[in-house]
Amino acid sequence: MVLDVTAKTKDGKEAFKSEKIYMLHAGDSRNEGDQMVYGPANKLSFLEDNTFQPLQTKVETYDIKFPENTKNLDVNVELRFQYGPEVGSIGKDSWVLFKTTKEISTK
Amino acid sequence: MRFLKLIAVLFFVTIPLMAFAAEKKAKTVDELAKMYDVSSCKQCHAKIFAEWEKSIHSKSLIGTPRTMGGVQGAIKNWMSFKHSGVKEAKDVTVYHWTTTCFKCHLPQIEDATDEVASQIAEAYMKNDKATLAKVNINCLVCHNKMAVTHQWRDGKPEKDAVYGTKEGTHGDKKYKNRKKSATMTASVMCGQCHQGPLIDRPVTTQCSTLYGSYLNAYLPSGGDKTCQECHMKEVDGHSMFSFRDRNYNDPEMVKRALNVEVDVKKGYKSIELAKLPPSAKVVVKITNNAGHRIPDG
Repeated sequence: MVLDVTAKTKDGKEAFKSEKIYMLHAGDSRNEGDQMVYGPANKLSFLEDNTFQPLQTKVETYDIKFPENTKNLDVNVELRFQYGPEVGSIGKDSWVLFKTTKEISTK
Repeated sequence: MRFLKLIAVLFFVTIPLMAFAAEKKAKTVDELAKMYDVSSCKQCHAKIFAEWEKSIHSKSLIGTPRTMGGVQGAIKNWMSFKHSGVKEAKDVTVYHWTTTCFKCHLPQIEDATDEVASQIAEAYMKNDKATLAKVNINCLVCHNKMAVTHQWRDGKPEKDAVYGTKEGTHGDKKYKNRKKSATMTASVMCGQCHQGPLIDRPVTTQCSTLYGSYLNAYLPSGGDKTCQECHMKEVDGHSMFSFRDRNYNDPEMVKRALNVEVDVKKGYKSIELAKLPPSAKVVVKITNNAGHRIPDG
């Protein structure tokens, strides 16, 4: 799962970008280092589990700074399920589970 | 008298054993497919059958097709492992499969010969989807082969029965009886396959880990639903969300599983840190309402 948060100026310039990945990072449990491994015959246990846990809420907070002379930004939030590191084709390699755009402005 | 008793005991012990040994094993992939033929189910359960045909379960050797890549990778790994007994795909036996991938992806492989095991391994290495599509997780796998989870207590599944939630007769020439499975509506039914890692095997296998998450995270957090309650909908008492397609491709299922809230705060400029530009906070809250971690398998 990937949570993308980007903020853009009204003329489309990117002011902020964050990409967070939530997944099981499998190791081989053979005390041979902390290298992540692929493949069912190699994987055993988790080096890290930062997935969304059942009946729990994960809160991510972003501090978005406004570029000089900018009073408004469009913040795009997109949560995707994707197989690999690349987004690829939506509906084939990745699926958008949630998407919204919100405006932030300075006082 | 003692001699006669001994003969009687031997008779009653050996005859069933001989019958068991003589149980016919499939010698080809086609024979295995025929052994687990579910075409007659379609006549009365057309809607369920159509849903199953579209499902990942009906493509259990191919998957999305990530399964195919995963199994190919496993075979290559076995070839590289010194003690696996596999140097080429043709060396793969029923034992290799039942120890690993096919414990879940094709449990009926145990009703086939090593020749079939080898044919399937070679089909994987040749990207032969047509062969791999012939066998799968179908009606008979869940409603017969895997339908009894407590076999030392309840015995093996009966050959002429389909297991569900009721007892009675069943309008099929081969599967004439309906039997009640003690666990058909319990999570363990699904957990038989959607679990892991398999650490008790000569080649440890970690594919799915979902049932562990259900047991050790969902239930302790107060969850009280079964897999079937979330993943099966009351249509003909059977229809599964996951039978339609992958869950993440089903907006209704995603909506049930995940709640996402985005809160934006008004931007401000710090008086004390005057050199910093104005900033605003964006808070994203993601709640997992599913009975297991997301993502998991």
